[in-house]
This record gives sequence, C-alpha cells and structure tokens, in this order.
Amino acid sequence: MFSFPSQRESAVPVAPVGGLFRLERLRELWVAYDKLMITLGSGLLILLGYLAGRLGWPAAANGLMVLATLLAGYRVAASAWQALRFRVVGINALVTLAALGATIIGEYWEAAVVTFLFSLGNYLEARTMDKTRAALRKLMELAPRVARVRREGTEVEVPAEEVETGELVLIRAGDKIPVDGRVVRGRAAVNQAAITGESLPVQKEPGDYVFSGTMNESGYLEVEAERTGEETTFARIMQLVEEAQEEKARIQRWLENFARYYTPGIMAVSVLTYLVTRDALLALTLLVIACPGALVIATPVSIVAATGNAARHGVLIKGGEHLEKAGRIRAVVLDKTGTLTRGRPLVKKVRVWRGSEKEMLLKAAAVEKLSGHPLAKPLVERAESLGEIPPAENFQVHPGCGVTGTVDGEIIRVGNRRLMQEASIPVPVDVENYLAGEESAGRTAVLVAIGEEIWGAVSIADEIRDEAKDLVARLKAAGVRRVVMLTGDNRRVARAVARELGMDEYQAEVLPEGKVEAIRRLKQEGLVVAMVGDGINDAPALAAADVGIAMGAAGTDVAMETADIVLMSDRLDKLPYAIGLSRQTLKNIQQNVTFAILVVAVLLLGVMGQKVVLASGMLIHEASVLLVILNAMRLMRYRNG
Amino acid sequence: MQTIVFRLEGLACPECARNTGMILERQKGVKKAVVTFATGKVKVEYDPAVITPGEIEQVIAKTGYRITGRG
Repeated sequence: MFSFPSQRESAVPVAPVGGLFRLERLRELWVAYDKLMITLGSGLLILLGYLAGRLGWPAAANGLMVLATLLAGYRVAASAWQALRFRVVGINALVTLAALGATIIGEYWEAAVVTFLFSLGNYLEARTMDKTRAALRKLMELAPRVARVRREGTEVEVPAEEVETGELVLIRAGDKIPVDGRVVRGRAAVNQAAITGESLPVQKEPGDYVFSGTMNESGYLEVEAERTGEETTFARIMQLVEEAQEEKARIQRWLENFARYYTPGIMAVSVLTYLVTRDALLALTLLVIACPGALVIATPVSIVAATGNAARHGVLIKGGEHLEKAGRIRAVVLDKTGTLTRGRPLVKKVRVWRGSEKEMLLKAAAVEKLSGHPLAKPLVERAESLGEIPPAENFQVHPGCGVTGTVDGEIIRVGNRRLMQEASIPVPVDVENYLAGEESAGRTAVLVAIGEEIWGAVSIADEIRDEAKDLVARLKAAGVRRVVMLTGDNRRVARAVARELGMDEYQAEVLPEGKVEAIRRLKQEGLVVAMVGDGINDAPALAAADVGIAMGAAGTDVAMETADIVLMSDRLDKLPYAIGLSRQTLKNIQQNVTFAILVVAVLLLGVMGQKVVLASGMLIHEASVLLVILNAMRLMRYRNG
Repeated sequence: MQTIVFRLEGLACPECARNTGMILERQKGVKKAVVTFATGKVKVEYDPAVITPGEIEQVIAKTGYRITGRG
C-alpha cells in the first residue's frame, strides 16, 4: 500500500533512459532464470555439436560438446568443490568426476549429455519442489499483518504483532482479524477457513471467541485481544506445521541410512570395476547411478504435499511419523460425548411421581449446582427458569452414581439406580420400567429422591451430530475395520445410540481410566488404534492410542500439544478425510519407494549388462526423481475420505 | 546467540539442503544451521558479535541458492 506512490515516482525518471532500464531488466531476468538459461545454452551447444558431427566436422563437434560440458558443468563443479572442502562427497562431486572422466577418455558426447541432463533435471526438480512448498507458504501468508486499535482515543493502524493483550481491536467488514480474542461489541459473519478449513461463515457476537487469521466478511466487531503475534492459534498452527516437516517418518530415516551406505558402496564398486575390467566408461557410469536421488526424496516430498493439503482443510498432522501411522489405522475409538454428540446435553423430559415438578427440580438443582458433572448443567438451567434455587449443604459426590446434599435439613439424592440402592431407597417397578424405556430411547434418566422416597426422574440427552450418521460408513470406506464407541452412559442408552449410528461395538459405563484400558485391549489384538476425543478430558486415552486425534481443538493448547492429529473445527467429517488422506499418503510413499528401488535395480542391471551408459543412466535417474515428485504432488489435490 | 530464518529457492534434493546446513555450520560464529528441505527454510543460530546476517546471506548465496525472504 505504502510503497505504491514511491514506486511510481521512481518509474518516471527511469523510463526514458531506455538502455539502462533494459540492462537492469536483463540482469533481473538473469538472476531469476540463470539456471534455466545455462541449461538451455548447454542444450543448444549439444544440438549444434550433434549437427556438426552429422555434417562430418568431428573437431567442431567435439569442441562444441566440451563447451556444453563446461557451461553446464561449471556450477556443478563449483558446488562439488565447496562441498569437498567440507569433506562432503555429494551428487555434484560424482557428476563432476563422471563428466571429467568421460572428457578425458574422449567421450565428449557422453560428458556433455550427462551434465546437461543433470542441470535440466535439477532445474525441473527445484521448480516442482518450490511449487509444492508454495502451497504451504501460501497458507502462512494468510497471517494478518495490520491491526486497527484505539489508542488514546484515536484509531491507529499498527503491525498485528504489536497489539497488546487487553487492547481493543476494531475489525471492519473485509478485514482480517489480527488477534485471538473475545468479541466485546458488534456482530459479524466470520470466515474461519484459515483455522478450521471450513469456509461457511460463522456468526459472531459479543462473548464469542474469534481467531487471528480469520476474515470478517460482513459486519463490524470490536475485539478484546487475548493472544497476539506468535501466541495466536494461527501462529501456533503454522509453527506446528513447520515443525512437522522436520520430523522424519520411519521409512525416511531408513532410506537415508541406506543412501549413506549406497553412495560410497557404488563408488567403491566403480573403482573396483575399473581396476578389474579397465573399462573406464563402465566405471564412470556407475558413478552417475550412485546418486540415490529418487530414494531420498520419495518420503519428504509426499509428506510436504499431504501436510499442506491437510492444513488447508483445518487438519493439523504433527509430522511424517504420525502421518505414516495414521495411514495404518484399523480401529477407531470415539468418545461419545462431545465427539459423536454435540456435547450440549439438554433436559428432554421430566416425570414426577410425587410432589411438584418445580419443587423437585429446584431441590435437585440445589445439589447439582455444586457438581461439575456434564449432566448437571442442563438440569440446573431448567430449574433456573422455574425459580430461585435454594442453597444446599453437605454436598457429596458418589463417583459413578450421583450426588447427595441437604436442603433445609432434608436429604436430596440425584443419581442412578445404584445411588438409590446404596441408600436402601426402594425403586418401584413402574419407575424401573420408565427408566428402561427412556434408556432404550437413548436418553439418560436421572432419579431424584427427596428424603427417603423417589420423587421423579429427569431425562437428559445429548443431540447426535448430523455428520455422525454416515461416519461409520465413511470410515469403513477409508479403510477402517472397527469403529468403537466409548461412553460413560449405561448399557441401554449406549446401545440405543450405537444402533442409531451403526457402530460395530460400544462400551458402556466406561470410567475415564477405562478408556485407556479399552484402547490397550484393541492394541493387543494387533490393530493400529486411533482415539478421537476433545483432547482435554481424554488426554491419557489420546496418548495411549497409536494415533491420538483431537477434535474441535482450535484455541485449546493442551489438545494441540498432546494429539498426533488435530482437527481444528469440530466437524466430524474431517475425521474420515484425515484418515483417508493419511492412507493415501502412505500408499503414495510406498509407490515412490518401490519405484525408486526398482529404478536403482534396473540401472545397476543395465550398467552391468552394458545396456546403460553415462547419458542414458543420467536420463533414467533424473526422470525417476521427477516422476517421484510429480506422483507426490497428486496428494495436494486429495479431497475426500 | 540470535536466530534468523531465511527462505531459500531452488533446493532440489535433501542432500543439497544438508550440505548447505553443514557449510553454514562451519562458519565462525554460526552455532547451528538447520535447513528444512520440505519448507525450503534455513534456521541459523549465530553469534551477532562474530557474524552478521548479511555475511550469512553471502555464504548462502555462494552455495548457489537464492534467498527469497526472511522468516
């Protein structure tokens, strides 16, 4: 924005001085395309040399070939020399040696073509790799740059990272939100694609949380900054995506180790071959194919392409090893609450056998108010709409059963059958039948006893997410064999929900420690197990699984740190996508590695059988590297599970 | 110790990345240099009293890769 006027000013005096201007342009072009021009120049010389040869001028032909070798080989040799000074024998050294040797023994054509193909291959590989990287980089460019804040009564524009915590940030329609924070004033439709991969705008109003990097599509917001700069969720995601690239997959480490022995090994074979056969050309050809090219690039390039794609869809994969493991997932364990359901339980039905509904609910709420149980909140909310909740005393939690307390000296018990049985309160047959009916319909019925008698039951249920309904089918399509639901609910409720969702298995009445046990059992069966949860309450289970997947984790650091794969949005359909992408990536890596090993084998056999010489060896080598990169780039376009 | 990150263009193979890192690490004043092939980024930990970012840039330029930006 600011550089625009100054650019125009400087453009005016320069334009008339045509010559200088054009020279400058040429220099710029050279800097941008030097590698390409050198390669093309060398190619042209080879072509001229070939023509000269056909015309019967061998001296000219050889001269042109040597020139072509020098042109394309100069930089290769320079890099080789630089690496050698640090005692590194690399690809460049091998190629230089091969070209030099070929020229010495009079194989000018071979030398020229080897160096030409090497630079051409290198150029094309660098370009395609840059393109793959650009996909990741584009993502990072979504980072907001400026923020509009109110300081000392006036609105000022400051760099996004200079906003201080607690400052009020003003966000107009079309602005990128520059901080993580809570909306204080205003209303807006916000596109959160940068974080969640979901481009449908979300309505934000006072009290809602907004994320840096997301876009205010329409409306106006005033946001109190909570996290800025490097602290924002967006910055954390980018950091994790980058770190993910540094973490190597197991196959990758293995291949790099292999390459470490392969290159010197083939060089030794080359020397030995020369000593035994005195065939210099054969020995030099071995040098060329000693470059492990496609082998070492096979894994990293697939992983960049895949993690870039995932990040674009709001899925954070924490690195090669996790991706590799996720590609082998056979069993998926899901926590029902908050994952398959919305995590917002509501009171669905109230049944009273004794006394009034209002009195029962208020007294039950008095006790439940002190409990942190997820089923307590909806009951308390319902009671609050009826009247004032009385204070409770002697509050006590009975794990897995319910809570007790006293209101006006009367004992209030809120919980399941077991709580009543433990207190020797009789559960009549009609109450028992009612409970069974509610549970078979997928609702949890909580009993309320006041004094020594059951007054009524409150049925609470959590709504099942829309995407949960075809989840099992989509997971199966992505290659998962078993889908298991875990829940703290009782057996009947669990069965009803599991049946509705088409789950293979379910485990009811699972306590938090039980989740880890359930995962361990599946692992013992030899399955690669993924655990899906919210990442906060089920951190141990996420850690126990082979692959921990946290859902709806935008903004929760714990989840982002502990999980192997993070679904930023709380959309369940990202799960089959993430597993499908991982599986596809694993397949892609396997294709690449198989192909690369095949190429090495073919080259070795070809050289031994005298079918492959310098130039053709290099051609196959470079072509194989390019094919591997292009194959990996297909992952950038992967869409669904 | 300070840390600076450069973005490189033209890294064709993981080996080239490793070599660039090694070359940087043998410079006086450079404590650690990690080149990530996948992202094309070089993270250099250096002692500003011994070597300047400009000098680091020159070393990188000598290895044949173009710096397209910082950070």
